[in-house]
Amino acid sequence: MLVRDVTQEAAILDARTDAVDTTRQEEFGQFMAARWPSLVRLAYGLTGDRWVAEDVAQAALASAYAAWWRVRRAEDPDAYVRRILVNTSNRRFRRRRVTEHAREPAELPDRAVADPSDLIGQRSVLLSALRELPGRQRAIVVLRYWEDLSDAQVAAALGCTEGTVRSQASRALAKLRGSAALADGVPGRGAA
Amino acid sequence: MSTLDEQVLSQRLHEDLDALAAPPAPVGPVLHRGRSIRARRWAAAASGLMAGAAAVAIVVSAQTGGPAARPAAARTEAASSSPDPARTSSPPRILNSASPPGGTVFAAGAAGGAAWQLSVRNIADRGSSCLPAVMLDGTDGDLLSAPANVANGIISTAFLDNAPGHLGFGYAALQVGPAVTRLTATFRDGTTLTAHPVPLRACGQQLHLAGFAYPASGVAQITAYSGGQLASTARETVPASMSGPGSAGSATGQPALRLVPGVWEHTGATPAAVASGVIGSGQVSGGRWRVSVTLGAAGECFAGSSFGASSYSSGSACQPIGLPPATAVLRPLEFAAQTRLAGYGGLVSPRAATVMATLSSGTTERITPVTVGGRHYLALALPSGTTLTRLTLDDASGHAFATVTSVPPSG
Repeated sequence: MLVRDVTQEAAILDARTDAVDTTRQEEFGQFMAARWPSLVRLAYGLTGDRWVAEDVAQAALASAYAAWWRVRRAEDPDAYVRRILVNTSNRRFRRRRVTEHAREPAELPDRAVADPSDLIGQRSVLLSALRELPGRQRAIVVLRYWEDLSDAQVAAALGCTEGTVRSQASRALAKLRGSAALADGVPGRGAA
Repeated sequence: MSTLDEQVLSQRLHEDLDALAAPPAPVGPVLHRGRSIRARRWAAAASGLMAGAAAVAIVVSAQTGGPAARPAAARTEAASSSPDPARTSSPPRILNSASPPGGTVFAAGAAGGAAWQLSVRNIADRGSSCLPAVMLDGTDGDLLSAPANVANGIISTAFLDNAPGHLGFGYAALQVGPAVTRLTATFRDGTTLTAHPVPLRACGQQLHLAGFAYPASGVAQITAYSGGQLASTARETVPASMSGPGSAGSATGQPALRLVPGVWEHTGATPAAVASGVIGSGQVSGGRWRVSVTLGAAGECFAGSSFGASSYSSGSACQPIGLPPATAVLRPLEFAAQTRLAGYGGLVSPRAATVMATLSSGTTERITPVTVGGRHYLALALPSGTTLTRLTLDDASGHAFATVTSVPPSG
């Protein structure tokens, strides 16, 4: 055939692209479904707000999907995504200090609604105290004492040295000790 | 650091965080968001390459002493949510953003240097009802009908071209079945664009919408795909009054004549009227009159009729659908050949329980707004030669909360 039918070739290429997309979506969907609860909880520990946590987890997973070819080839995809999530959370905290979001009146609810935080009870004393810590210290506390990661794993997630992890953890614990967060659970120590 | 502190901290963290019940994983929205990020990165990389190429061209030109080769326009266009913007192209001056802002916005970009966005809005009064409509920048609403039982096809296609403030461009909004993963649009100038439907909920309905801006030449064909398969119809479109026979649009650069600028044009099945009702009636100058409103594919249409002792006349006019106003927006109505009547009809704030109309003759008339399709309307007819000078809006407690004096003249 002297003249190639490029319109047919285009259709075949499109079909192949979609087939690859479908496989990638299924693979990522399984990965996400398995990790979603723990990532939301990790984000909850980092942000102290469950609704923000869901958004941070979604944003982190979306970034992971955008670079899925790299994530799935990583030595430890979970660590990769965890690092994305911590960075996403930190960026959000940085932005929050300088940004205010305006809402159009049309998007406001028709009638008064209850504060969503009422649905999950009062935010715990510990999570409130965590929010007072600098971002890196907060991440170290959650990764070390909730995820039970080693200092090396925490350092890898945060892109710092193990020595930094240990020193920052020590400072964070000292600050928490000064708050009511740890007081009433430790025998012999009152809230003062 | 005490081990006891660490144990307590670990225990407390597990108590707080493990107790959190995560909702089901939102895989679909995350995939969509991820595709947007990827497309944005591609677009940024592509524009960086273009800028680099332009810089090289300028340097080469300076070294040779010749005129700088005119660099190709740096196109940052990318299909809405397209995973591969490199495959898309459209004429300069039109940008289809790869990453709609989210929320109720399902397509965004820039055309002719101005930003645009397509979103779904409730055009009924808040707290009264819910009528979802696609809106361009919050105006020019196009009512969405309930999703048909179509899994992988195009449910509806609507085009808006030469809208006020958007001359020389067109916009398309498509509602598709949930299985549609990709749409390709071929424009009449030969360029193509890939778009991905965005799932969103509006008025309790799950909708899958896509949209894009298109050049003045118009859209030739839109094809829907589900996975790797052709999902439905490659739909031949005849949108664009800009591109139709006899149109002055693309040929002369002048906007084509449309009966109602700002009202969307549908191809395929035309959506049925969503709501209709009489918003005013009465007797003036010995004749009876009546005004009704219909919300549908033709926009917001007012129809007036008058009955004299031996005559009957009627007239109607349509306008783009807008959001309910904070006060009142009236338009003059014509009763066709009936010259003894002048009329007004329009929307009022849902807060208005009654409206006091003051006429140029000094008389006043109290009107109760009528609800049609969850929107509050009023209509009145005046003897010819009399004009409406003021509207005073009272809330349910009788408190006047707004006065409107800028009423357009009738007749």
